Amino acid sequence: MFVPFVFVILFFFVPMAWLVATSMSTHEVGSPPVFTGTLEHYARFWTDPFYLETALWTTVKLSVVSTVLALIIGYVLAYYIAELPAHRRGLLTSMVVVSLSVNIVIRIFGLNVLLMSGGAVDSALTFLGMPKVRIMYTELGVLIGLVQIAIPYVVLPLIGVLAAVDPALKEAAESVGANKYKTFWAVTFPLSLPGVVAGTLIAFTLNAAAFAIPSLMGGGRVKMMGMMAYVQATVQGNFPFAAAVGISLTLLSIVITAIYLFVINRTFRTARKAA
Amino acid sequence: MTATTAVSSGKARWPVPTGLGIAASCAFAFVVAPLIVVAGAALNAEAMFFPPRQLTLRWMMAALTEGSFVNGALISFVVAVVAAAFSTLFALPVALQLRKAPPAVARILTLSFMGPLLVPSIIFALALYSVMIYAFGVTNLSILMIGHVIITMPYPVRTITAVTEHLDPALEDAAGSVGASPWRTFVSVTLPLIKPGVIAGFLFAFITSWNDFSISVFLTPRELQPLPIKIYEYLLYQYRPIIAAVSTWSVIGSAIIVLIIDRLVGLNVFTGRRS
Repeated sequence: MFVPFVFVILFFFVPMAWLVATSMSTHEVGSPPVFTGTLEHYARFWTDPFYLETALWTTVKLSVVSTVLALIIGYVLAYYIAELPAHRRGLLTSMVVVSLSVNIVIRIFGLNVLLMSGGAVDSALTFLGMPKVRIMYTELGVLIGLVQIAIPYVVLPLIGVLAAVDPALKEAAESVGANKYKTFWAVTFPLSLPGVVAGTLIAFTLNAAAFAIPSLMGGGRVKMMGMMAYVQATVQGNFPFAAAVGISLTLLSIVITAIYLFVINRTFRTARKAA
Repeated sequence: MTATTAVSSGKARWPVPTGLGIAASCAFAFVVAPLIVVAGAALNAEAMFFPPRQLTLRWMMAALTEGSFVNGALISFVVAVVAAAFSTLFALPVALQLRKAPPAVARILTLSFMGPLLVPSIIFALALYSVMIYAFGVTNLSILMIGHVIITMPYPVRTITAVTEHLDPALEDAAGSVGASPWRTFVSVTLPLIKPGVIAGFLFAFITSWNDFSISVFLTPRELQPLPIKIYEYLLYQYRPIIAAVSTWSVIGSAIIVLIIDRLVGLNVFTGRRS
């Protein structure tokens, strides 16, 4: 009990506190950061339109949109798998699990081969007579990557809750005259909310801090905050600014998560009251 | 292609494909596409294209004999096993204490050990990296493992807590009353009862570590790179068939791990269903 606690304090809380301290230190090339309690790095990030537009807005936009898209696509797949008879869910579920357990770098590699100019998607679009679209090294490419990586995290908890929905409830709704859509929105969807919340929270937290995807699919053109913190620290050697970006990103992700949970809780409660 | 047929053959009962079936097939194809593309590119004789034009096993064989990749895979595997073993070992006393602790203490403990889930892993990596660089001037394999223990620990804490909730304290009391020492009680009564949670936690931790990219990209020592970092560095500059072959072997490895998990504890650990 004692050992794990000390371990977490020493290797998680101390480094995080250290990062906060670093973000409030002065930066001078060639010498280690000196703690002065300055907020200049935060001020630099949060007032410069360049950082706000390129890094902050890109990060928020891409992580929110990708989470919503992953939820829609993942929900369809999870719903289909959950509707299958139990003995036939195994193959599809295990493929989703395999996809989840393959390293992110490898999955991005596969996507890049598929999306690169002259690749399968490109050729298919040309074949269909569609105008040429640049996907790789654009925001669209990064978005596709974020959605692809996030889907398994959304699908798996949803299969669990959707398969647990009692069919008798759906039959009851249909017996009082509700059609398929009405039954879905009034019965199935509310019951699946815990799975929706669990999946989207993981997807959002992962995507807000995405590093490998913008790095390999954005070609340095699509700047997200996680990647910026990395470049600032390892390439520029500006640890204080990197730390300020990192702490800002952490707080941003926690605030958006809190707002999301608050909204879900409130709508869910009013929905229950109305029903 | 394989993806779509796998889905449609699964619903032979319905002669007409439903809208849901078609949408789900597309979603499923999107989930598995990168893996199939990587395998296709690895079997390609000439350049990196999908679909392949001329099939060969040359690259697949070459990948097995190229020492740096084999080493990378070994490093990834060893790091994942050690990190998962420590995080499960640490999680055990925590989860067992959580059950007995007063609610206020339990809340603090949960927050301390789940904290790493709230902070984006790339930012925690930056924090640990800056502390270690300041303290030692370098990073090494044990620091990388420490990072992995921190990010993987929430999973065994959660899976073990889930099983201890159903544990009857009377069983342990009974062992104590017939004179068994606390250690003896733990080994012959408690441990067998919570075994499924322990195994699931270890496997989750293993996969999280095996899959990790952001911790490793900061904390990897130059001369001992895990496989994903090695692949990443290649992908930054050029796409070669041998990288696709190495990736394909890694996908096969992941599939075997998933198969083992399925045999040992069932895939329900991923969908969160308690059977």
